[in-house]
Amino acid sequence: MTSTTLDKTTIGFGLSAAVMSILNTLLVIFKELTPPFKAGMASAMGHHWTTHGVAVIVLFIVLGFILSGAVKPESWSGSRLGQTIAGSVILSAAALAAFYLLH
Amino acid sequence: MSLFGIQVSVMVHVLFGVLGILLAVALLVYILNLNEKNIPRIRSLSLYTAVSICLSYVIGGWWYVVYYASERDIIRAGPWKWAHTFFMEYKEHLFFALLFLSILLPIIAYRNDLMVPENRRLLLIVTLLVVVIGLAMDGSGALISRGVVVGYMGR
Repeated sequence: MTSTTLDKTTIGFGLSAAVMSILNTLLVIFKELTPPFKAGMASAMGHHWTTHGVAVIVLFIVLGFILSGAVKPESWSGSRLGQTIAGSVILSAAALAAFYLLH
Repeated sequence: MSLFGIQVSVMVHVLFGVLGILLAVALLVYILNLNEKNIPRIRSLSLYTAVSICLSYVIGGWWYVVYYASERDIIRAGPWKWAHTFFMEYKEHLFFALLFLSILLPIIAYRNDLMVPENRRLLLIVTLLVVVIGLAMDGSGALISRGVVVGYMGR
């Protein structure tokens, strides 16, 4: 049975954390495999990691607000959101580790 | 900045990181022993955890961007080059997931009725992830520091 007790901001930012964990890993893989893109990130803000950080944090906040306004609270229980976040974070952490082990 | 100042800034980064982990562990204990009286403390701890992790990120990030390059070169020239090529690369990027999760903690704690088991479970899962990733960050940091020492010893 789905609980309707989570508020929309929690669901929005929870889903944003899940999505951004995956996007963060994809951005790492893309920039490491595309040297000109990494160089562009470095020239944008002085260091590729600074640009990376600003991009993912701004996206996390913007996506959090967008999803907060778009989600249907009755579709998300605490358990379902927790499992989505945990699955996404574990998958992205494992993919990041695998990438740097093989890279 | 002086050499002393640079080293202190790294230690302050570690201090806030470890403090964030300790606060998250305390939060975990209170969530596992949830009752009406504990809720204000759970909310405070969730906020303190987020602030501590954010401060660790800002201070560590500044040090990494401004001062890490010379240490990276020492690590890469030494026998423990994987301390940089795996652990630092992993740490500097996985930290963003930790940052998102720690920011999420007070959002969950302040905006929901924690006496509802489903909401409590969500806070428990996110707090557990913060503790586990925080420990991974801490262990990686320790290996990176040893990588510098081993790099110097090999010279």
